[in-house]
Amino acid sequence: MKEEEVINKIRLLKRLQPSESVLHRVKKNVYQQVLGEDREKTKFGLQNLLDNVSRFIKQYTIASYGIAFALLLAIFFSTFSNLLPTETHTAILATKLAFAPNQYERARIALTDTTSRFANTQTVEEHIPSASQSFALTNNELAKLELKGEKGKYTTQECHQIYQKYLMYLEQENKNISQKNNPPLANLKSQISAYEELAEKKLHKYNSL
Amino acid sequence: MKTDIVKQFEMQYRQLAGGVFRYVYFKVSGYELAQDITEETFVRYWKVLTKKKSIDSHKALLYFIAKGLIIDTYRKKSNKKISLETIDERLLAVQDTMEDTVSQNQELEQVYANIKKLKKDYQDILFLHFVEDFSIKEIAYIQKKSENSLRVLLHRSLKALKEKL
Repeated sequence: MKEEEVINKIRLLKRLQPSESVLHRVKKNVYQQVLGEDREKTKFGLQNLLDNVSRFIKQYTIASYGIAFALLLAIFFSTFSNLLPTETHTAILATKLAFAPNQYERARIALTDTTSRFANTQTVEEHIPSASQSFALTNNELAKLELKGEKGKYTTQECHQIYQKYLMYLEQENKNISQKNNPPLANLKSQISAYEELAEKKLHKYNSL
Repeated sequence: MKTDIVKQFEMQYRQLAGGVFRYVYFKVSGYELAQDITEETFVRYWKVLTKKKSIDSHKALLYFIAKGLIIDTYRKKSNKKISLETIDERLLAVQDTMEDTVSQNQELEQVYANIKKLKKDYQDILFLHFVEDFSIKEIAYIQKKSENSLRVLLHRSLKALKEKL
Protein backbone atom coordinates (compact mmCIF):
# COMPACT_ATOMS: atom_id res chain seq x y z
CA MET A 1 0.00 0.00 0.00
CA LYS A 2 1.31 3.47 -0.93
CA GLU A 3 1.88 6.14 1.70
CA GLU A 4 -0.82 8.32 0.18
CA GLU A 5 -3.37 5.55 0.49
CA VAL A 6 -2.43 5.09 4.14
CA ILE A 7 -2.89 8.82 4.73
CA ASN A 8 -6.29 8.73 3.01
CA LYS A 9 -7.30 5.87 5.24
CA ILE A 10 -6.26 7.81 8.35
CA ARG A 11 -8.29 10.75 7.11
CA LEU A 12 -11.38 8.58 7.21
CA LEU A 13 -11.35 9.25 10.95
CA LYS A 14 -12.49 12.79 10.20
CA ARG A 15 -15.92 11.27 9.79
CA LEU A 16 -16.11 10.64 13.52
CA GLN A 17 -18.37 13.40 14.75
CA PRO A 18 -20.50 13.82 17.86
CA SER A 19 -24.09 14.86 17.23
CA GLU A 20 -25.15 18.51 17.29
CA SER A 21 -27.31 17.87 20.34
CA VAL A 22 -24.30 16.60 22.30
CA LEU A 23 -22.23 19.63 21.34
CA HIS A 24 -25.13 21.89 22.26
CA ARG A 25 -25.46 20.21 25.66
CA VAL A 26 -21.72 20.53 26.31
CA LYS A 27 -21.82 24.23 25.41
CA LYS A 28 -24.79 24.80 27.70
CA ASN A 29 -22.94 23.13 30.58
CA VAL A 30 -19.83 25.21 29.91
CA TYR A 31 -21.85 28.44 30.05
CA GLN A 32 -23.58 27.32 33.23
CA GLN A 33 -20.20 26.70 34.83
CA VAL A 34 -18.38 29.85 33.74
CA LEU A 35 -21.27 32.26 34.25
CA GLY A 36 -22.30 30.55 37.50
CA GLU A 37 -18.76 30.97 38.83
CA ASP A 38 -18.83 34.69 38.03
CA ARG A 39 -22.10 35.08 39.96
CA GLU A 40 -20.69 33.07 42.87
CA LYS A 41 -17.60 35.25 43.00
CA THR A 42 -19.69 38.46 43.19
CA LYS A 43 -22.00 36.96 45.78
CA PHE A 44 -19.05 35.73 47.80
CA GLY A 45 -17.35 39.15 47.66
CA LEU A 46 -20.43 41.05 48.85
CA GLN A 47 -21.33 38.49 51.46
CA ASN A 48 -17.79 38.55 52.77
CA LEU A 49 -17.85 42.32 53.11
CA LEU A 50 -21.21 42.31 54.92
CA ASP A 51 -20.03 39.54 57.24
CA ASN A 52 -16.88 41.47 58.12
CA VAL A 53 -18.83 44.67 58.77
CA SER A 54 -21.33 42.94 61.06
CA ARG A 55 -18.53 41.15 62.90
CA PHE A 56 -16.74 44.48 63.42
CA ILE A 57 -19.91 46.14 64.73
CA LYS A 58 -20.45 43.30 67.21
CA GLN A 59 -16.86 43.43 68.48
CA TYR A 60 -16.34 47.18 68.58
CA THR A 61 -19.76 48.70 69.18
CA ILE A 62 -18.56 52.09 70.48
CA ALA A 63 -15.86 52.43 67.83
CA SER A 64 -18.36 51.63 65.10
CA TYR A 65 -20.70 54.40 66.38
CA GLY A 66 -17.73 56.77 66.21
CA ILE A 67 -16.93 55.71 62.65
CA ALA A 68 -20.57 56.10 61.63
CA PHE A 69 -20.65 59.62 63.15
CA ALA A 70 -17.41 60.56 61.40
CA LEU A 71 -18.82 59.26 58.11
CA LEU A 72 -21.99 61.31 58.58
CA LEU A 73 -19.89 64.41 59.31
CA ALA A 74 -17.78 63.79 56.22
CA ILE A 75 -20.91 63.43 54.08
CA PHE A 76 -22.38 66.59 55.60
CA PHE A 77 -19.21 68.62 55.04
CA SER A 78 -18.72 67.45 51.53
CA THR A 79 -22.35 68.24 50.66
CA PHE A 80 -22.82 71.52 52.49
CA SER A 81 -19.25 72.84 52.53
CA ASN A 82 -20.46 76.02 50.79
CA LEU A 83 -22.33 77.03 53.95
CA LEU A 84 -19.21 76.84 56.12
CA PRO A 85 -16.83 79.74 56.95
CA THR A 86 -14.22 80.49 54.26
CA GLU A 87 -11.24 78.99 56.18
CA THR A 88 -13.06 75.72 56.83
CA HIS A 89 -14.27 75.65 53.25
CA THR A 90 -10.74 76.22 51.93
CA ALA A 91 -9.40 73.42 54.12
CA ILE A 92 -12.08 70.98 52.91
CA LEU A 93 -11.49 71.97 49.28
CA ALA A 94 -7.73 71.50 49.69
CA THR A 95 -8.36 68.01 51.15
CA LYS A 96 -10.69 67.11 48.29
CA LEU A 97 -8.07 68.26 45.77
CA ALA A 98 -5.29 66.40 47.55
CA PHE A 99 -7.25 63.14 47.45
CA ALA A 100 -8.47 63.52 43.84
CA PRO A 101 -7.18 60.60 41.74
CA ASN A 102 -6.09 62.65 38.73
CA GLN A 103 -5.77 66.15 37.28
CA TYR A 104 -9.15 65.99 35.55
CA GLU A 105 -10.85 65.29 38.88
CA ARG A 106 -8.94 68.17 40.51
CA ALA A 107 -10.01 70.52 37.72
CA ARG A 108 -13.61 69.31 37.98
CA ILE A 109 -13.68 69.76 41.78
CA ALA A 110 -12.23 73.27 41.54
CA LEU A 111 -14.64 74.31 38.77
CA THR A 112 -17.69 72.86 40.54
CA ASP A 113 -16.67 74.63 43.72
CA THR A 114 -16.27 78.01 42.00
CA THR A 115 -19.46 77.74 39.95
CA SER A 116 -21.53 76.70 42.97
CA ARG A 117 -20.06 79.25 45.39
CA PHE A 118 -20.19 82.16 42.98
CA ALA A 119 -23.30 81.32 41.06
CA ASN A 120 -24.57 84.91 41.22
CA THR A 121 -22.85 88.27 40.94
CA GLN A 122 -24.24 89.36 44.31
CA THR A 123 -22.05 86.75 46.08
CA VAL A 124 -19.05 87.72 43.98
CA GLU A 125 -19.52 91.36 44.98
CA GLU A 126 -19.72 90.45 48.65
CA HIS A 127 -16.64 88.19 48.60
CA ILE A 128 -14.27 89.67 46.02
CA PRO A 129 -10.99 88.32 47.51
CA SER A 130 -12.42 84.80 47.91
CA ALA A 131 -13.86 84.91 44.40
CA SER A 132 -10.52 86.02 43.01
CA GLN A 133 -8.74 83.18 44.85
CA SER A 134 -11.32 80.67 43.70
CA PHE A 135 -11.05 81.76 40.03
CA ALA A 136 -7.25 81.61 40.27
CA LEU A 137 -7.33 78.11 41.75
CA THR A 138 -9.74 76.84 39.08
CA ASN A 139 -7.67 78.39 36.31
CA ASN A 140 -4.53 76.86 37.76
CA GLU A 141 -6.06 73.36 37.96
CA LEU A 142 -7.52 73.57 34.44
CA ALA A 143 -4.21 74.81 33.02
CA LYS A 144 -2.51 71.64 34.28
CA LEU A 145 -4.82 69.40 32.22
CA GLU A 146 -3.28 67.52 29.31
CA LEU A 147 -5.41 68.47 26.30
CA LYS A 148 -5.03 65.02 24.77
CA GLY A 149 -6.08 63.42 28.05
CA GLU A 150 -4.07 60.91 30.03
CA LYS A 151 -4.26 57.21 29.35
CA GLY A 152 -6.51 55.46 31.85
CA LYS A 153 -7.32 58.71 33.66
CA TYR A 154 -9.29 61.05 31.44
CA THR A 155 -10.06 61.49 27.75
CA THR A 156 -9.62 64.32 25.25
CA GLN A 157 -13.38 64.60 25.07
CA GLU A 158 -13.76 65.04 28.83
CA CYS A 159 -11.00 67.63 28.79
CA HIS A 160 -12.64 69.48 25.89
CA GLN A 161 -16.03 69.47 27.62
CA ILE A 162 -14.71 70.83 30.90
CA TYR A 163 -12.94 73.66 29.06
CA GLN A 164 -16.16 74.53 27.20
CA LYS A 165 -18.06 74.61 30.48
CA TYR A 166 -15.35 76.73 32.07
CA LEU A 167 -15.31 79.22 29.21
CA MET A 168 -19.10 79.54 29.24
CA TYR A 169 -19.04 80.26 32.95
CA LEU A 170 -16.27 82.87 32.60
CA GLU A 171 -18.12 84.60 29.75
CA GLN A 172 -21.31 84.73 31.81
CA GLU A 173 -19.50 86.07 34.88
CA ASN A 174 -17.65 88.66 32.81
CA LYS A 175 -20.94 89.81 31.29
CA ASN A 176 -22.64 90.01 34.70
CA ILE A 177 -19.78 91.96 36.27
CA SER A 178 -19.71 94.39 33.32
CA GLN A 179 -23.38 95.12 33.86
CA LYS A 180 -22.78 95.93 37.55
CA ASN A 181 -20.48 98.89 36.84
CA ASN A 182 -18.90 98.49 40.29
CA PRO A 183 -15.28 99.88 40.56
CA PRO A 184 -14.06 97.36 43.21
CA LEU A 185 -14.95 94.59 40.71
CA ALA A 186 -12.64 96.02 38.02
CA ASN A 187 -9.61 93.95 39.04
CA LEU A 188 -11.65 90.79 39.22
CA LYS A 189 -13.13 91.56 35.81
CA SER A 190 -9.67 91.92 34.24
CA GLN A 191 -8.62 88.68 35.97
CA ILE A 192 -11.65 86.86 34.53
CA SER A 193 -11.01 88.37 31.07
CA ALA A 194 -7.43 87.09 31.15
CA TYR A 195 -8.61 83.60 32.10
CA GLU A 196 -11.28 83.76 29.41
CA GLU A 197 -8.64 84.52 26.81
CA LEU A 198 -6.49 81.63 28.00
CA ALA A 199 -9.46 79.24 27.91
CA GLU A 200 -10.33 80.36 24.36
CA LYS A 201 -6.76 79.71 23.25
CA LYS A 202 -6.88 76.22 24.76
CA LEU A 203 -10.17 75.48 23.04
CA HIS A 204 -8.73 76.59 19.70
CA LYS A 205 -5.96 74.05 20.15
CA TYR A 206 -8.58 71.26 20.04
CA ASN A 207 -9.21 72.05 16.37
CA SER A 208 -5.64 71.03 15.57
CA LEU A 209 -5.66 67.87 17.72
CA MET B 1 -15.15 43.11 27.08
CA LYS B 2 -17.33 40.18 28.07
CA THR B 3 -19.26 40.41 24.78
CA ASP B 4 -15.98 40.06 22.88
CA ILE B 5 -15.09 36.99 24.90
CA VAL B 6 -18.50 35.45 24.26
CA LYS B 7 -18.18 36.16 20.52
CA GLN B 8 -14.70 34.69 20.38
CA PHE B 9 -15.78 31.69 22.42
CA GLU B 10 -18.85 31.06 20.27
CA MET B 11 -16.79 31.23 17.09
CA GLN B 12 -14.10 28.85 18.32
CA TYR B 13 -16.68 26.49 19.79
CA ARG B 14 -18.59 26.30 16.51
CA GLN B 15 -15.42 25.56 14.57
CA LEU B 16 -13.51 23.37 16.97
CA ALA B 17 -15.79 21.62 19.45
CA GLY B 18 -16.43 18.64 17.16
CA GLY B 19 -12.70 18.13 16.58
CA VAL B 20 -11.83 18.49 20.26
CA PHE B 21 -14.50 15.92 21.13
CA ARG B 22 -13.18 13.53 18.46
CA TYR B 23 -9.60 13.92 19.71
CA VAL B 24 -10.60 13.38 23.33
CA TYR B 25 -12.70 10.36 22.38
CA PHE B 26 -9.80 8.94 20.38
CA LYS B 27 -7.60 9.23 23.45
CA VAL B 28 -9.99 8.04 26.16
CA SER B 29 -12.34 5.77 24.18
CA GLY B 30 -15.39 6.60 26.28
CA TYR B 31 -18.23 8.67 24.91
CA GLU B 32 -19.47 10.11 28.22
CA LEU B 33 -15.92 10.67 29.44
CA ALA B 34 -15.09 12.46 26.19
CA GLN B 35 -18.12 14.65 26.74
CA ASP B 36 -16.97 15.57 30.26
CA ILE B 37 -13.40 16.28 29.20
CA THR B 38 -14.54 18.37 26.23
CA GLU B 39 -16.73 20.37 28.59
CA GLU B 40 -13.88 20.95 31.04
CA THR B 41 -11.56 21.84 28.15
CA PHE B 42 -13.87 24.64 27.05
CA VAL B 43 -14.37 25.83 30.65
CA ARG B 44 -10.60 26.19 31.00
CA TYR B 45 -10.35 27.76 27.56
CA TRP B 46 -12.91 30.39 28.67
CA LYS B 47 -10.77 31.19 31.70
CA VAL B 48 -7.72 31.65 29.48
CA LEU B 49 -9.76 33.92 27.16
CA THR B 50 -10.70 36.15 30.09
CA LYS B 51 -7.11 36.43 31.29
CA LYS B 52 -4.92 36.40 28.18
CA LYS B 53 -5.04 39.22 25.67
CA SER B 54 -3.46 37.50 22.70
CA ILE B 55 -3.53 33.84 21.78
CA ASP B 56 -1.44 32.65 18.84
CA SER B 57 -3.51 29.61 17.95
CA HIS B 58 -6.84 28.99 19.63
CA LYS B 59 -7.01 25.53 18.10
CA ALA B 60 -3.58 24.48 19.42
CA LEU B 61 -4.42 25.94 22.83
CA LEU B 62 -7.67 23.96 23.03
CA TYR B 63 -5.96 20.67 22.15
CA PHE B 64 -3.18 21.46 24.58
CA ILE B 65 -5.73 21.95 27.38
CA ALA B 66 -7.55 18.78 26.32
CA LYS B 67 -4.31 16.82 26.33
CA GLY B 68 -3.55 17.93 29.90
CA LEU B 69 -7.01 16.87 31.04
CA ILE B 70 -6.68 13.52 29.30
CA ILE B 71 -3.38 12.89 31.13
CA ASP B 72 -5.10 13.76 34.43
CA THR B 73 -7.87 11.29 33.60
CA TYR B 74 -5.33 8.57 32.80
CA ARG B 75 -3.67 9.15 36.16
CA LYS B 76 -6.95 8.93 38.05
CA LYS B 77 -8.18 5.88 36.16
CA SER B 78 -4.85 4.09 35.89
CA ASN B 79 -6.31 0.87 37.28
CA LYS B 80 -9.22 0.69 34.88
CA LYS B 81 -8.60 -0.65 31.39
CA ILE B 82 -11.17 0.24 28.79
CA SER B 83 -11.57 -1.42 25.40
CA LEU B 84 -9.80 0.91 23.02
CA GLU B 85 -10.25 -0.51 19.59
CA THR B 86 -13.95 -0.06 18.85
CA ILE B 87 -15.83 3.10 18.00
CA ASP B 88 -18.95 4.20 19.87
CA GLU B 89 -21.77 4.08 17.33
CA ARG B 90 -22.94 7.57 18.37
CA LEU B 91 -19.84 8.92 16.62
CA LEU B 92 -20.44 7.13 13.34
CA ALA B 93 -22.21 9.12 10.68
CA VAL B 94 -25.21 7.56 8.96
CA GLN B 95 -24.79 7.48 5.16
CA ASP B 96 -27.46 7.65 2.44
CA THR B 97 -28.02 3.93 2.22
CA MET B 98 -27.64 1.13 4.70
CA GLU B 99 -25.03 -0.57 2.48
CA ASP B 100 -22.88 2.55 2.31
CA THR B 101 -23.12 3.00 6.03
CA VAL B 102 -22.11 -0.55 6.78
CA SER B 103 -19.18 -0.70 4.34
CA GLN B 104 -17.79 2.74 5.19
CA ASN B 105 -18.11 2.18 8.90
CA GLN B 106 -16.36 -1.18 8.58
CA GLU B 107 -13.42 0.47 6.82
CA LEU B 108 -13.35 3.21 9.41
CA GLU B 109 -13.40 0.77 12.30
CA GLN B 110 -10.60 -1.21 10.70
CA VAL B 111 -8.32 1.84 10.36
CA TYR B 112 -9.25 2.96 13.86
CA ALA B 113 -8.42 -0.41 15.34
CA ASN B 114 -5.10 -0.55 13.50
CA ILE B 115 -4.05 2.91 14.61
CA LYS B 116 -4.99 2.00 18.16
CA LYS B 117 -2.57 -0.93 18.00
CA LEU B 118 0.35 1.46 17.40
CA LYS B 119 2.52 3.05 20.07
CA LYS B 120 0.84 6.01 21.82
CA ASP B 121 3.29 8.53 20.29
CA TYR B 122 2.56 7.19 16.80
CA GLN B 123 -1.19 7.35 17.37
CA ASP B 124 -1.01 10.95 18.55
CA ILE B 125 1.02 12.33 15.71
CA LEU B 126 -0.99 10.52 13.02
CA PHE B 127 -4.26 11.70 14.50
CA LEU B 128 -3.21 15.30 15.09
CA HIS B 129 -1.49 15.71 11.73
CA PHE B 130 -3.83 13.89 9.36
CA VAL B 131 -7.20 14.00 11.12
CA GLU B 132 -7.04 17.32 12.95
CA ASP B 133 -4.80 18.94 10.29
CA PHE B 134 -2.26 20.39 12.69
CA SER B 135 1.12 21.48 11.36
CA ILE B 136 4.26 19.99 12.89
CA LYS B 137 4.89 23.34 14.58
CA GLU B 138 1.47 23.28 16.24
CA ILE B 139 1.90 19.67 17.33
CA ALA B 140 5.25 20.65 18.83
CA TYR B 141 3.36 23.22 20.95
CA ILE B 142 0.68 20.72 22.01
CA GLN B 143 3.06 17.85 22.74
CA LYS B 144 5.92 20.00 24.01
CA LYS B 145 8.37 18.21 21.72
CA SER B 146 10.86 19.45 19.15
CA GLU B 147 9.76 19.76 15.53
CA ASN B 148 12.62 17.57 14.32
CA SER B 149 11.76 14.70 16.64
CA LEU B 150 8.12 14.97 15.52
CA ARG B 151 9.08 14.74 11.85
CA VAL B 152 10.99 11.55 12.55
CA LEU B 153 8.09 10.25 14.62
CA LEU B 154 5.62 10.99 11.83
CA HIS B 155 7.71 9.11 9.30
CA ARG B 156 8.07 6.09 11.60
CA SER B 157 4.40 6.05 12.56
CA LEU B 158 3.28 6.11 8.92
CA LYS B 159 5.61 3.24 8.18
CA ALA B 160 4.30 1.28 11.17
CA LEU B 161 0.68 1.78 10.15
CA LYS B 162 1.42 0.84 6.54
CA GLU B 163 2.73 -2.50 7.78
CA LYS B 164 -0.45 -3.14 9.75
CA LEU B 165 -2.86 -2.23 6.95
